[in-house]
Formats: sequence, structure tokens, C-alpha cells
Amino acid sequence: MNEAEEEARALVDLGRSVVERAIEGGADVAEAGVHSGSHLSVKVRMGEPELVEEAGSRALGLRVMLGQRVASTYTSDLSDAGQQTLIEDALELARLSESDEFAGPPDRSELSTQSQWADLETFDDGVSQISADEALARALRGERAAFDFSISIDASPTARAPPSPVPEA
Amino acid sequence: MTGRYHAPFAEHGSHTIDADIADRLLRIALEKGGDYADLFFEYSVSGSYGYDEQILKSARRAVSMGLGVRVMKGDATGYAYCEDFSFDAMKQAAGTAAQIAAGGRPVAPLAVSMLAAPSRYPVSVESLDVDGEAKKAILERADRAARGSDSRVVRVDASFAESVREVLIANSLGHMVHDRQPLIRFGVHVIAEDGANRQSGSSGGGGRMGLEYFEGQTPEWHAEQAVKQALMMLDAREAPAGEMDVVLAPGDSGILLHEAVGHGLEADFNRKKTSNYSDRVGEEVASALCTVVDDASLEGSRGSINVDDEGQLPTRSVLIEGGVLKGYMQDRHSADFFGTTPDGHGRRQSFRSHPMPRMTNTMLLGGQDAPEDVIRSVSRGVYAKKFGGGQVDISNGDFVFSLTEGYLIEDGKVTAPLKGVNLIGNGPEAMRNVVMLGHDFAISDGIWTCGKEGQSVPVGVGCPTIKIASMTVGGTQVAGG
Repeated sequence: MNEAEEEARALVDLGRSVVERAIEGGADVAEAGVHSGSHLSVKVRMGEPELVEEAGSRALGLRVMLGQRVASTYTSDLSDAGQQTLIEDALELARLSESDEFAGPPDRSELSTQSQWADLETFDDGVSQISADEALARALRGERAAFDFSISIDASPTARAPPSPVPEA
Repeated sequence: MTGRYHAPFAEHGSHTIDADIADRLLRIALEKGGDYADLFFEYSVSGSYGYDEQILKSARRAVSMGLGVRVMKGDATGYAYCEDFSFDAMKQAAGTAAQIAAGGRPVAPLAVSMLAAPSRYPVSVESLDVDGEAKKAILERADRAARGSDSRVVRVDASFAESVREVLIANSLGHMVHDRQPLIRFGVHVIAEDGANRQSGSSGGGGRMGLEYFEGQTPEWHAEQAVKQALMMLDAREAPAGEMDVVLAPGDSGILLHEAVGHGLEADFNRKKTSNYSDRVGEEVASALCTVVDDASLEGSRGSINVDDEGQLPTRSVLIEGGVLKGYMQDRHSADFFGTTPDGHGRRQSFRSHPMPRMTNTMLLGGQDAPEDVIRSVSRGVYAKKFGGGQVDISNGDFVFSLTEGYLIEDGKVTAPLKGVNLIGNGPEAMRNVVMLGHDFAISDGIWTCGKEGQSVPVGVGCPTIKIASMTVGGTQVAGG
């Protein structure tokens, strides 16, 4: 197994464990989503590096149903205590929720299995091989190309005009 | 120690961060050189409840925590984050961020010591520690009041969002600061129907406080406002089009100021010379009536902070005084560039992002006029009460805003409600055209979120009744029709 496959296996195990404990805790339906990823972002400005941002992240989401009452929780704290809070909060919030006749997972017969999934080759392991230096070099080439295109292009802000604030009332 | 949610890195936590650990991490961050480094520890819990079709349909809660390490060398920033507080993970993040200065010699950070921060949002009971039934009851009250007020109300959605964000910041200048930031936001949205005519109305509020908010602004009151707005809009006529006087209602109209002027005064845009306010400090940029400040110290306001996300204690920043541009809102990076002191505007959405200049509570201060006199002075114009959304181009200050509640002013009186009103203009030009300011300054009731480069932060806006002479109103009814 390579690193990606090992990580995928660990994620599935974690998800399975959380689902089992949610059911033990009283849930009728439990769905866990586990994600793991890495992030690289670089910005250049006027021919110089401006920002190099790198990180790895893991997160766990849980949706439970008590009858037709639904609740969801999420955490990036994957410690035992973090998982415990995730499950307890989900069950507590589901007890507070009210029955929604339209909530519910699909019928079991409609669920697909992994063997049925088409391989759309959406994962390219090459992405994780790109180093910060290489990313910077590419960004610099792109900026250079923009400046070389026309003398009218003389500034390169990395910030675009901000979108409007949202009154989320 | 009461309360369910506590940061692992705080005192008595599972991974307490003290000055010694902070010093070690800062040392690693600067081992390849660099001008500055900071550590941003964050633990954030947020939850929301959605009530529609007369049931509590959704209940969610999320916990997010991590450490963001930033190293700066000249104009370049290295940033890395991790999501656990084991020393190995934190050390790795610090080492990754250090790469930006690669090639330099190690720099020794100053030993950190705790700074005392102010207390602008003391909350005796955080809403996350209150039983869910109490929050459900608030939503039920809003729903009941809205449905019961008029038979034309066909749909009601009520929501309640709550969060607490605990931060610990340590930097190479020797500062270490801790803060715990609660935040609540309530909203009710209704749809009223009269035959084929369907209109909506909404009302909401909140701030850095607990459920005591609802003793002042009850769910019933908000429901009433939302219903009133929806019913008013059922009778709304199409907006006029053309140049005319515009009067902005106090409080939420400050959003125009935030967008059309505020963003242009963030120091990073001016450092990069992409703002229309670049190189204009000392110039007249607004009418002499206008004084614009950004003030993080308002007690309990949504936009207030005790400390910014770089460990700087914010002050009240006077941006425009008597129409003259005094300065910009600074983060550390920009303050260095401009040769001034950072003034506490370095904010970030979370530990996953680096900070940049952001607003807190942005306000146009009140004037001397009676609001009635302001309205009375308009022979034909628009009274803008509530804003939906808008866009601004900070390079020149051009903006377009749409109203969700607006009225015609005819012969000095507010008359017919209007729909489809757009205000089209230019920030600096609008500010120069401010001809009257009411003495009725008000701050928004905790609903606004500002987005910039993909990072959201909660903000406040405020203003008095404002008369702007001659703005373009985009509607469908040209004058004479």
C-alpha cells in the first residue's frame, strides 16, 4: 500500500468507528465523512514571492438521525476527546431537532458500492509532488508573461476588489 | 471552570501553551532568518439552528482548531498551519513557514510575556452553554409572531447562529495575548403573498453577547419588522431612474460606507497602489461634514475585538476627519511599509489564513441636523432603509448597491415604498456630496460579514441619517413617468 492508500484506509477506519459509536449512542442512522488533504498556495507580485502557504489537514463530519430528526457535527480535533464531543453533540442536537418527513438517507437498495464507482481519474498523485519552489517558478513565469504581453500592463495586484459583505440575517 | 468548550492550548487545557513553548516555536520559525514571526493558536466552536416550515429542521455544530505560523521576510510571507497541538506537528509547521527566509541566518525572537487585553464583550453565560431548548424557543416565538401577525404571511424562516473563538497569539516582538470571542446572530425572513404578488422581508441582529440580547430586541419585535417590510413591499411601486437626492437611514446604511470607502482605506491596497485613495493622505476626500472612524472598542458589537489576530491591541482609528484623509487601517506589514505603528486591524478568518488589514466597526459620525429636517429638504428623491448587496471597484471607488427596502421622498415627505432600487455611484464622489448629517447616529445590529480574498470576518457598520445630493438611482421609471 502506498501512502495515499494507507491514509484512505485510516480514514475509512475512523469513519466506521465513529458511525458505530453513534449507533451505540442511540442513532438510527449515522453517516460519517472523513477528509484528509494537503494544501499549497503561492502568490507572486512584481517579480517577487509574496506568499507561500502550506499545510496538511484532516477533518471529520457526522450526520445522525433519531427517527426523522437530523443533526450534523464537524471537527478538526481528531483526538479521542474530539471524537467523543463530535458524537455527543450530534446526538444531543438530534434530540433537539424536530421530525422532518423529507429527511432520510436513500433506501439501502439504492446505495452504491465502491466496486460500482467509475474511475474518473480525478486524483492525480503528481499534485502532491509539486514543491513550493516549482510553484513559485510557474507563478513568476505567468506574471512575467502578462507584463511582456503589453506595456499597458504595469501593475500586478494580487488582491482583486473584495465582494460585498453579506447581511446573513 | 464552567462551560463545555475550552481551548486545549489554554490554561488547564490538554496542551497548554506557555511562554516557553511559544519561545521555542518562534525560534524554529526564525531559524532561517526573517524579520518577524507569529504564532496564531485558535480554537473555535460554531453552531446554527434553522427553523422553517414550523419545525427545527437543522441543528449543526462544528469544532475547528489549529496553529498558524507566519514568518515574514521583506515583502514575502511564509505560512503554514497544523491542526493538532502536539509539539512535533507545531514544530513542523514552524519549520515549513521558516522556508520563506531560506538562506538567511537565524534570528532570535524576543522572549514573550503576556499582554493584558481589554474586555469589550464580558459574557456571563455563553450561548453555547445554554440548553438547546431555550434557543429553539426563541425561534418558535419568532415563527409564531410572524405567522400570527397577518394572513398574507405564507412562509417564515428563522435562524440562530452562535460561536465562540478562543485565540492565543505570540510574536517575535515579545507579545503574547489571549482572547475569547463570543458571537451570536439571529435572523427571521418572511414571505408575504397577495395573489400573484410575493415579497419578502427580514430582520436580524446579535453581537458579542449571550442570550440576554433577546431581552432588548425580542424575537417578536424582529418578526414584526420582517412582516412589516414584506407587507410594505407588496404595495411597492417600481423605482424611479435618474439623478436625485438620496437619504440614507441610520445604522445599516453604513454598509455603503464600508464598501465604497472602507475597503479603499485598508492599507494593503494603498501599499500596492491599487486603491483610489493611494497617495492621498492629507487631501480632501469627502465633504467637511464627514468624519469616518474605524473603532474596535464598542462594547458588545459584532465588529469589536479586544486584540487583533496579530496580537496588536486596536485603537480607534480616525480615517477621515472633517473631510480630510488622515490615514489607512494598518496591519503589521503595511505599517512597516508606511513607517507607522500597526493600529490593530490585522485580522484573519482562522488559523488557516494569514492576516491582512480588515475593518472592525466602520462609522460615519453623526452631525447636527434633525432627521426630519433632512427628509424635509428633499423635493424628490429616495429614502434608503435596507441594503441587499452590492459591489465596489476599489481601484476607482465605483459601486452599485441594491435596496431591499426603500421609499420615494416627495415634497419633503416619505411616501411610496419602492422596489428594484439600485444606487449607482462612486465612493469619494458620494462622500463629497454629503450635504446633511443627522444627529441620530446608530450602529448596525450585528448582521454583517465582510469578505476579502476569500476570508470572512464579522464587522459592524454605523452612520446617522445622511443626505447625499445627487446620486444615480437605477430604476425603471424615468422622471415624468
